[in-house]
Amino acid sequence: MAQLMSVLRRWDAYRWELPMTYRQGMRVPGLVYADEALLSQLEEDRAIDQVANAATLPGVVSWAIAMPDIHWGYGFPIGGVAAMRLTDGVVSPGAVGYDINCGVRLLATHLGVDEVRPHLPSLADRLFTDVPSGLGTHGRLKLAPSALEDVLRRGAEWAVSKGFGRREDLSRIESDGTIPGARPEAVSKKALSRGLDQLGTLGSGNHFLEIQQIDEIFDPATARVFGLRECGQITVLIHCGSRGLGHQVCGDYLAVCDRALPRYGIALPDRQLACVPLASPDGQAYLGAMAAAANFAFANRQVITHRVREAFAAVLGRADGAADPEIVYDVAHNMAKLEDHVVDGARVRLCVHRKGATRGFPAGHPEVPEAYRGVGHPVFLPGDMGRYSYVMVGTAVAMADAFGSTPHGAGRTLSRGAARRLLRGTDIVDALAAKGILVRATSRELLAEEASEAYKDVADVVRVSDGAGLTRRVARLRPLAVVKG
Amino acid sequence: MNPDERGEDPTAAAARRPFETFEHTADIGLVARGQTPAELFARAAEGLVTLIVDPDGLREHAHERVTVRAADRAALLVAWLNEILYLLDTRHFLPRRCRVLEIDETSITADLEGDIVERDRHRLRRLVKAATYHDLRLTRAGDGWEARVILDV
Repeated sequence: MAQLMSVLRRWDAYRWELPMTYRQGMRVPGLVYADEALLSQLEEDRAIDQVANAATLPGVVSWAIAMPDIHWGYGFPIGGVAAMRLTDGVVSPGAVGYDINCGVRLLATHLGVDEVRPHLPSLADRLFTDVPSGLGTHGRLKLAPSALEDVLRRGAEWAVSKGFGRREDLSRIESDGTIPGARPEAVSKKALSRGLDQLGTLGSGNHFLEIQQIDEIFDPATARVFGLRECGQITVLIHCGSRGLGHQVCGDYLAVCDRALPRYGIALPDRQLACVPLASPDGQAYLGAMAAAANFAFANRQVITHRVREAFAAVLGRADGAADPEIVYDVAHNMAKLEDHVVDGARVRLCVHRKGATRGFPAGHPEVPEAYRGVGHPVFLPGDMGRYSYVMVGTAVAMADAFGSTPHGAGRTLSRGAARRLLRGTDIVDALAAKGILVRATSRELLAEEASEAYKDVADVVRVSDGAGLTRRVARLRPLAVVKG
Repeated sequence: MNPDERGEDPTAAAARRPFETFEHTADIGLVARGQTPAELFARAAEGLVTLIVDPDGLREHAHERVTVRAADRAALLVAWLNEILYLLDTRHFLPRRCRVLEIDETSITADLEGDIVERDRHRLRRLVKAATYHDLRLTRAGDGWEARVILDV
């Protein structure tokens, strides 16, 4: 702690400046959102160094930002935000991440926990089968190459047009579920072939599908606008991304950027931050391919939503529509987006990289769906499978100070190996069952790596995020059943 | 059992191990060693596969020949490991054994013998999204070669 405290300049209880003197080549300072408790958890890893590295990228504006859930990633920190000028700035595939448009979607039903609890085992079984996770699985959908190209251009809208959902779903998704400017022709054949049978699949790692209940409402007026009416109401949280297609796009363009660095005269402290000028043909090609992969992710979460609706309808057999989940919202947390922000009093268009950070636009912003424009759009902070997740809302402070960005989750505190060692001999499935949480998973090792003990308490992240004014908490959700890879 | 969980004396064991893992908060680090670049690459692949499934369950009844190219030897290792993940995604194939036919600074050709992964037949551990360039090192170590690579999980 002493070491980081001596490096960072404290602004207030929740904000710290990483001065430009920390590392040669920093073009802007770093801004770290943390309190002393969270900061002490950063002492052991290299996340702060990665904030400094992000601050060296050409065209970076104002500051490189660390969200309260920041932790050591590869290249860019997880929980990192950096905005670049379009004129002389860069785009970095490594600052978006391999899982392009990894994100979270929340669904809300009209059911109460008592109605659903007896059906939880059947629901979990059905979801475990119908939303394939882990390895050696593929989705029920097999796409022809021409259909995949359509998915990449149209995103969630493609899925709805094929019967996976309803028109009104689209207005409850960031960017209406379609990132404009997608260029399927900029996506490699290898990336395309990875996408052909992965639509409607969860993946592995920290991805999950959870059936939950609302266990506390902090802001009833905003919660009501989001369709979160009362404690005990059943919700479903989906966390996944663009699968192998997105991973391949990132890898392909990292190699392109890596080779191009000398041509653009860019020197970097970490090869994983490889980047190219936004205005260059390489930069434009990446943005087009990234948009295509992002659309695949939106379509993926849309198909999964359809499978969830089918499962609820089949298992609960209700004709009154109460079991039919509605989308609350869908937000990306690995993405570079072109957005307008005010910098030094002037409105400028920027490319905002958010890796493990969520867009959280406030009330009144034109990109907030009309239904939510009076309050701001929802932001989701998944915690861990043994505790809880939060529904939040972005604020004008986040807009002014953090390019409209908010945290994305709990953030790990133990490495995967440390989690396995700590939990050796513990049956995670039994331990969660004792808490009333049902688990369906393909790998017990992965369950140990993803256990509560491996994560920060997301309530700590919420405390700092709310304390700094980035967000306002709306509701808390507790898991009842978890499906994992 | 993972190589970092055998409980051996770390210094003596390290030299013997073809590969081992190291700690990274979110992801997993992999160290591989070999007398030659060919052996190093084969062992790195073995390490990657071992993180994904229990390799004892993999038979050698499927075959793939791959050629991978990259800008330099370290980037070649990243591309090689990512090629294995590509084969897993598209053909559900994982190698049990890699025989390197040709390797130089910027390209590798290898024959992979392995299995088609099935959820019911294999003990699955975790999916690896990609090998990254972050803190990537590929160096001569003593009379052999050593590589460190961080894998996105």
